[in-house]
Amino acid sequence: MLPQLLLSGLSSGLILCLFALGLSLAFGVLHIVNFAHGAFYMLGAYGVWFGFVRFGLPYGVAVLLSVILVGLVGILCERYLFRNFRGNLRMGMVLAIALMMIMESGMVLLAGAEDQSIPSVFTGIVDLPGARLSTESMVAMAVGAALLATVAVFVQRSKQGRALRGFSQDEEGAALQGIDGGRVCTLTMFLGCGLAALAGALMGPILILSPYMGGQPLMLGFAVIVLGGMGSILGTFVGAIIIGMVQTLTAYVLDPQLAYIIVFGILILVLLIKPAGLFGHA
Amino acid sequence: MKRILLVLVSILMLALLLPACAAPPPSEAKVLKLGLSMPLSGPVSFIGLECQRASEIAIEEINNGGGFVVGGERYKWELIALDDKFNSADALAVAHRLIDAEGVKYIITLADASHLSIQTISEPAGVITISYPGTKDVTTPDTPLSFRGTATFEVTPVNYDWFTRNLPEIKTVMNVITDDKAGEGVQAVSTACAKAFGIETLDSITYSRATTDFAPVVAKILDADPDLILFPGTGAPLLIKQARELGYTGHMGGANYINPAWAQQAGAEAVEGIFGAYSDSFTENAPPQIQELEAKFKERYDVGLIIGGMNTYNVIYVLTEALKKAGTVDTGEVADVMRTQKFDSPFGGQVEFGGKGIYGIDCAMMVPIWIGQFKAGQVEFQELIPANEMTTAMEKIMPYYES
Amino acid sequence: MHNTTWILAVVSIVLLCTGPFLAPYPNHIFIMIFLVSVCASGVWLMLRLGRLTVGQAAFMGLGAYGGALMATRLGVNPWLSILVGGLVAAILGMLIGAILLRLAGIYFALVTFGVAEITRVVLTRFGNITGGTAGLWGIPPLPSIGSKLGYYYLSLALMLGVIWLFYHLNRSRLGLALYSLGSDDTLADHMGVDPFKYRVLSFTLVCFFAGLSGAVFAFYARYITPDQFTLWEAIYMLIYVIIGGIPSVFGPFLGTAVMFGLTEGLRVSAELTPLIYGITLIAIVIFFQGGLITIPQMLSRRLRPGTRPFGFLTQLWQTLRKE
Repeated sequence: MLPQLLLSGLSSGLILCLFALGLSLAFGVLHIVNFAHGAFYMLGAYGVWFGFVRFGLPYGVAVLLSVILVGLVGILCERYLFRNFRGNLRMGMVLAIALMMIMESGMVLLAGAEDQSIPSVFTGIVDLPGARLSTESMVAMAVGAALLATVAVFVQRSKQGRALRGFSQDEEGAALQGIDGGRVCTLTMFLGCGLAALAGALMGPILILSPYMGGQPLMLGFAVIVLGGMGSILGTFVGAIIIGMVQTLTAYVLDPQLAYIIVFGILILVLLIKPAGLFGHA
Repeated sequence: MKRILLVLVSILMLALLLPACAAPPPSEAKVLKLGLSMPLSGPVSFIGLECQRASEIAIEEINNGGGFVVGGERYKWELIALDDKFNSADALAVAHRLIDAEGVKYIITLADASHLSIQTISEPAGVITISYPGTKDVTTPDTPLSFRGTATFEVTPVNYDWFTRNLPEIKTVMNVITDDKAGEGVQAVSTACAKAFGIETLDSITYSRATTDFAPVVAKILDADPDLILFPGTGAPLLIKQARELGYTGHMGGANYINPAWAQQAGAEAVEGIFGAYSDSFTENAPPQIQELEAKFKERYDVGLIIGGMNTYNVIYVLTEALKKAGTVDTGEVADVMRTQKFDSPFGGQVEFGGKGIYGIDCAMMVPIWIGQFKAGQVEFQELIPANEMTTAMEKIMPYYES
Repeated sequence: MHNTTWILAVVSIVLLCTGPFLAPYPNHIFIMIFLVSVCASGVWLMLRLGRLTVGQAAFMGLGAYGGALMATRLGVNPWLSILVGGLVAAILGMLIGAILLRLAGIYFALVTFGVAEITRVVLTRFGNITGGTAGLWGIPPLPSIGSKLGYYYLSLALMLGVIWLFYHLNRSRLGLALYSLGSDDTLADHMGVDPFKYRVLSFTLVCFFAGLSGAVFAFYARYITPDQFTLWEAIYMLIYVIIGGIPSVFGPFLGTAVMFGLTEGLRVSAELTPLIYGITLIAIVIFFQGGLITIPQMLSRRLRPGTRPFGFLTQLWQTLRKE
């Protein structure tokens, strides 16, 4: 059973990473505790549903469109809502929660309160020694990993990426260097929400869609960024894989609820020992 | 200046509080209020909304037919539906509003938490409450005005009876249940059924309602390798999909109900062969009145019935019958009538309230059960079990039942 | 802030007098408002001292379950059980505070986040003790509190007491110093102010009263479930404080009352409820940046001669256009 569980844990960890990265960036760069992040994940999944199921677009096109559109929605939210409350963490939080309610409620009005599903595009099973995984999940893992690597390289190497890192470390210093704070914020939000939407889009055919599907990943997402360290891409990756694995394994050995308690116990332990997380800076 | 403002504000506060002090308006003799405490927003709202819509249709049909006569007086129903968000604190507030402010005497709610919450004031206030609970605690001899709108535990023996006759190769069973009291209840009944029908129960696995990754659960199933796994409706499509993906090839069945939508959600191949009770509103074996209800639903709301709507529609008709037979709107007497008599039902034939063996008091509506099996992505009708045969099946397993 | 005493007196008298005239349904709503305000006031006090907590609902739940289990399982007198509930919450709060209040704001908030989630799952998981998701029922009523009115006065007294206590805690030299330092602990060190012990004391008290209010709720509602004390309930409490306004100790009560009123009013609107709720929140946050409690101030400024009558709207437009 062990290889099977490890593979499942890796799979859920990878998707969790895609999701949590946006959360981490939103906190590290924009200083928002983005409670609405789960809603962007949900929008990504529904975007594919509308595109692929309702309008009959090819699957890949639906995913791409969904990710871009949700990224744009994120940019609008940042620009016209969050930016006015920069630095005011509490107001930002209330805004994010209100945004989440509006998006969930809006989706109920658009798509109905019933669960929806997206038919699998990549059917079949991948048989590995000691473990099996649906082709759909395999594709999700591959795409997710590829995009993570791309984003990581982008943030490390590219000019905009360096601007982003500089801005998150020291806003004033960055401004003195001629970095446009507004542009950085826009880019960060686009990346973050886009990645969350991608996570939702990839998980869409694997899970059941509901306007409230973003709630659970959100809780785990917070656990991930605490463990990994806010604002650190490597930290988010490592944290997500660890939490994905721990959850799957303890759910098998014990039960899912105890697994959840243990994950959050780890969160508190990390805060006790190294609050900034595995790879974070204080 | 600030002092004057202060005085003004306090006068304003008093003025705002005054309407709250008003006594409820006297109820008109001709209207009987039916209260609904349902999740109309939030994750479970699709069931709550279905119940509300079905209630509206039922009441519309009854009222348009001239209402109903109780003890020589003609009545019409008035529906008051409030959102309890599936939260027990909200249900309590809704109960106060329905019972204290609106003078409602009949309330339908969805599940255990809201029903138990409402009971704290409904039983002392003489209000009849009906829900579809998953645990036994909701209806006990101490709560004579609380009723169960449909069979829940009683379905499992019927399912066992069907598969032991039709799938004799099944010798071992495993229960996959939710990690709460509802799940425990299912496990207790299923274990008793297995003993009664000569099947070996291997184990029970629990999962959380929020689970989206069933790999650990499936791993345990594969370890034990049962002939059959039985599971409830919550989370089923994901469990089914992942079980097949990860290599489980045995039989699968609903511990109680199955949902035709699983074919789209899990894929037609994955659900092939899954059996269980289902709410037939769409095949030609469905009762005519229910087929009409389904048609109305599709026309007005563009969605089909799942399960809550059918049962609520039935509950309202049965309640109306009970009132007519009781000849009085006194809820104590109506409750007695509900427990002791049979009623015509939109499901065809008659239904009655039973279940004394499990609950200590007759309070669960025994309705006819349709058994179906997934074939090529559709639920195919297998057998219709009339209400009284359900009682028989239940009695067969009672000697083995430990709660 | 001498006005605070006046306001407290006026509010107390108004609420005391209205009690007997309330029908059962509004009476129930007020009881809920009072009990939740106690917890929200705790959030308020900790915010004034530079710490954000989203654990208040969990402590309320601990008090509720602690008190309820004492009475139902061990047959302890309900009044004593309430006290035990409060103490259980207080002790846990003190432990957490003593170990973790040294952390910077965001980290402490995340700890309370973890505590809230763990509490919820623990209450659900160990169902053979707590009743699990189906909840704990059959809780006895408080002896010698006969009617709903009795619970009304009990909760009102609790809330007023807490408001008075927290006001003075906040207003003490140390409290004022902590607030004016804006939760900048380095500066506090340089000023010779030790925020830590004061924060631990305050947090313990805040948790004690949250537990107390939870226990009172348990004996009032006589049925409790874990889903009444989740992280989201705590986040709502924070929202009530922000909506009501942080500048005044009455902010939490005002915010709670307004949002409860909104919730009750929205019960008939079904699917639109979260939409309207969310839009209202955004509107209040944008238009009343200091919270609703600043309305009297805003009004008194408008009423001064020489102010443009619709200057408020022009200001708003400019705020929205600002980039």
